[in-house]
Amino acid sequence: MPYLEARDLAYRYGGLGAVENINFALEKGEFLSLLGPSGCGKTTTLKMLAGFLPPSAGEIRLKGNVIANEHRSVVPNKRNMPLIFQSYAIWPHMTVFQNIAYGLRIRKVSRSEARQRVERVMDIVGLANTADRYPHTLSGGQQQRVALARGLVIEPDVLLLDEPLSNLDAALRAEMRAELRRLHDELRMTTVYVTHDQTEALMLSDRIAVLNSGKVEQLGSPRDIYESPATRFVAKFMGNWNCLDATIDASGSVRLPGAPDRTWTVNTGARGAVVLCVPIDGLEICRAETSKGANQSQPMTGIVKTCTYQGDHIEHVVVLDHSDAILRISSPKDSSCPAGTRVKLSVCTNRCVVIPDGWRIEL
Amino acid sequence: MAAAILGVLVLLPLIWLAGLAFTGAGTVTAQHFQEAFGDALTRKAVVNSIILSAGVAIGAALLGVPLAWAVSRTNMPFGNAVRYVAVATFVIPPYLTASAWILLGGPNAGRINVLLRSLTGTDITLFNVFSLPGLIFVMSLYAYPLVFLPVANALSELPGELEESSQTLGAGRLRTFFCVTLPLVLPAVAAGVTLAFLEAISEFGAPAVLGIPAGVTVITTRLVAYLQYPPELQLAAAVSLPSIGFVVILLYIQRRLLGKRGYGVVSGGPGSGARKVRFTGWRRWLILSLVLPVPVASLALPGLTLASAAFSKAWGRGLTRENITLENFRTTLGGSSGAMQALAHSVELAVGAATIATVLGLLLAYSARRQLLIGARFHSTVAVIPYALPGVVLGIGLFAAYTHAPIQLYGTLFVIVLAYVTRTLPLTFTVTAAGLQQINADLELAARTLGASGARAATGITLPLLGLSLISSWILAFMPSLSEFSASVVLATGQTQVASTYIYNLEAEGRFEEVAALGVCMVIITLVAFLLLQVARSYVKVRRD
Repeated sequence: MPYLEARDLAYRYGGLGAVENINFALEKGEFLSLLGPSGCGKTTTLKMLAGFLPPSAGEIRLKGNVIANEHRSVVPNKRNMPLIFQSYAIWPHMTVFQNIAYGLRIRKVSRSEARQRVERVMDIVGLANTADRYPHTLSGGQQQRVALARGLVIEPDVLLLDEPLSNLDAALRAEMRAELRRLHDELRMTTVYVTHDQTEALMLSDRIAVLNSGKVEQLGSPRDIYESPATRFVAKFMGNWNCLDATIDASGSVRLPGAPDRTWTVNTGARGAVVLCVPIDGLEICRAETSKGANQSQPMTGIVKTCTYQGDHIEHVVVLDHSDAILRISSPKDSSCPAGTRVKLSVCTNRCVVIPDGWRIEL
Repeated sequence: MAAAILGVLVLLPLIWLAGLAFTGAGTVTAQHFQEAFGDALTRKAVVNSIILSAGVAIGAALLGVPLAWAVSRTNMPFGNAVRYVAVATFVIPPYLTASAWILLGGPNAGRINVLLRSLTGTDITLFNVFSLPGLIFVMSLYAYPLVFLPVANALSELPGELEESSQTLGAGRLRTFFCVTLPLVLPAVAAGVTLAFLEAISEFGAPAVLGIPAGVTVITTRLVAYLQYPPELQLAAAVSLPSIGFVVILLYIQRRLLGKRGYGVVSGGPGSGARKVRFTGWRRWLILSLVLPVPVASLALPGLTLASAAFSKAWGRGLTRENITLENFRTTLGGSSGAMQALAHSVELAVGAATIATVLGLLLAYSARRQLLIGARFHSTVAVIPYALPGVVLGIGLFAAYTHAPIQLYGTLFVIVLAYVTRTLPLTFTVTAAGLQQINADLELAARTLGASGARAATGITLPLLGLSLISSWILAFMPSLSEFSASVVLATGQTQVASTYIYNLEAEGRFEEVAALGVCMVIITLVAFLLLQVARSYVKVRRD
């Protein structure tokens, strides 16, 4: 029996953020990320899990018991599922200790036990020696830790997090991301985490659900999501793919519109109109006049539009000949080709992914 | 529930006014309007009101705008003190300011005229407050903060980058002023001027004290005259309705103008503050001495005049040793006179009204902001309607609504509390709603996910965070209620005199020393409330930052 389960969950009011057919089943201790752009419905889903929105259809089950369906929804304060807000929602009129002890006070935990539990959780999240301080004297990272501690101390059934890192600056965000990973490895808390940041989702999750316009586009492990996107949207959103419209003929040869015949062959059973996903680091670029790549039967050719230095690599944007397709190519720093250069491209075909056109993964 | 309360407080008086104005002999009629506006005295009152209000609006702008510039855009010394003094101007209610100006600018014995005569050796009367220009002068001094405060805020919030960008693009100082600075603060100026106009047209106290002896009638004093025996309630209602319409239009204009102010603060990031003109040495003091007459004449002069009269046997003789006495306080506050009772009524009414209005404002604001009520937006709108009701008009509405069976409240303190609550509800609602706006709803939701019930989260999290707003709301409702005059004059009877109406009666009898003594007591109470508010604000500010 799954620990936390959403079955055909839907929320249909209020246009933006409406969701339909949300399904997932988590084992105890699993970390699920809901990943998607703003307005995709990830926060709506989280608020249904927390109990702030009643589902229009479907149900949520915790340890096999229905906690919400279209007829009744357990109030948030009876769910034991604390929500960590993007704004942290630390109470400014309470000290760090009072903030963290709040849930224990409500549960009528004895003073001495509460003190012990609060101190332990403050140690775990790295907040030692801040107990009597007021929130406004804390840094953003520390406030974030208070919010986490406040949720963890009540020994929740599920921990819910709503874009908790998006208010932090880049360095602090990386630090807190690592911290969250450590906490999850240590405590194995069942967690649902909402984010629009691919890196966060990849680093933290056991599984990721990519949402778009209120529907789950793909549910899978970080490796699945990153290396074999199920839909064009997932490929585009993860950002490491070039998505090209292509056709595959009966013999399995890929044809790009306007490009020469039989450019290359990929290993797929799909035929007809497809989306061909080429990883941006799965392309090799070289000047057209060099002989390198000439052994390839019919290499793609094009003209470099821009060439941008990115620190650890160089990004080329290439316009393909006979086509209006544009490719982003991430290449090593020693292979820079300035704008206007004619180039040949060789493709690492075993890393390409073919998505049959109009096809959506069924879950 | 909330709807019923709002209905009783706000809508019932309005419905009664409309009913009275439009019906006669059992049918719908325009006869009362014809009769009221056919009267030459009423028409004259309308013209006078418009001249008075326009004059006050212009006067307030002439006093307020240069002062605002000096305070927020130069390094003039004591700028912050001037700001405080401007806010504190409201501590002395206008009928007391007007009484003080009788002592200063009365044609015969007024201090200023006496002083000028002795200086020039002639017997001219330079200054006569008992006239329309005199009334405009006194009320402009009272109303200038309405222009000064928003303009000073707009000027000091104006990011310096906006003007500096203009200069880097080649515009000179003057051009920058006219093309950038002025357009950006003009909405604030216009909003302030409209507010001063509104204040003047709704004001009853000063026109009653200075206008009636001079034979200058304005709409508010005309309305009260209609209620004197035999009361002509229908005619009063017929004059009231168009005034409400007029005020609503002005308020709408004012809101639009203030709404526009938003574009003054559109900027990419946190801008640095406004740039100040730096004067050196004696020039700083020259600026101060140029603007100082405004706060002096609006607060210090009337305040000191009242204080000295309160301690004088006869106000005209000045504060000499043989003229000093505490007798006025003994007379006014002694058990035998009605003054103590009136003051006690005022304090009780103000405490009651401030408490009720704050609780109501909180309930309404909370329901509206957290979307707990169906028609929350409608409730919010109704709650601020009384802004548009001149006090006299509200008084007439309540008078009309509660002089009949089954709810006969006229002649009780209760009907006066109703009036004060209604008058201050827009204030308490707005202050509390603004306070709630500052409190992220997540704070309460977080408590819910940690196990707190809705009620516990509201009282444990939101209510304590709202503390300062509630204190502000209470004090801001208490202060005007304590000195409220224009609704009280309609609703107070012999048994239910309040401080303001009692002062008005004393004043009519020429007992200025006792007026001053009672006034001093009122001002002290108000001042204490005002200082408490400032202390509470700075205390919370220190704790939060």
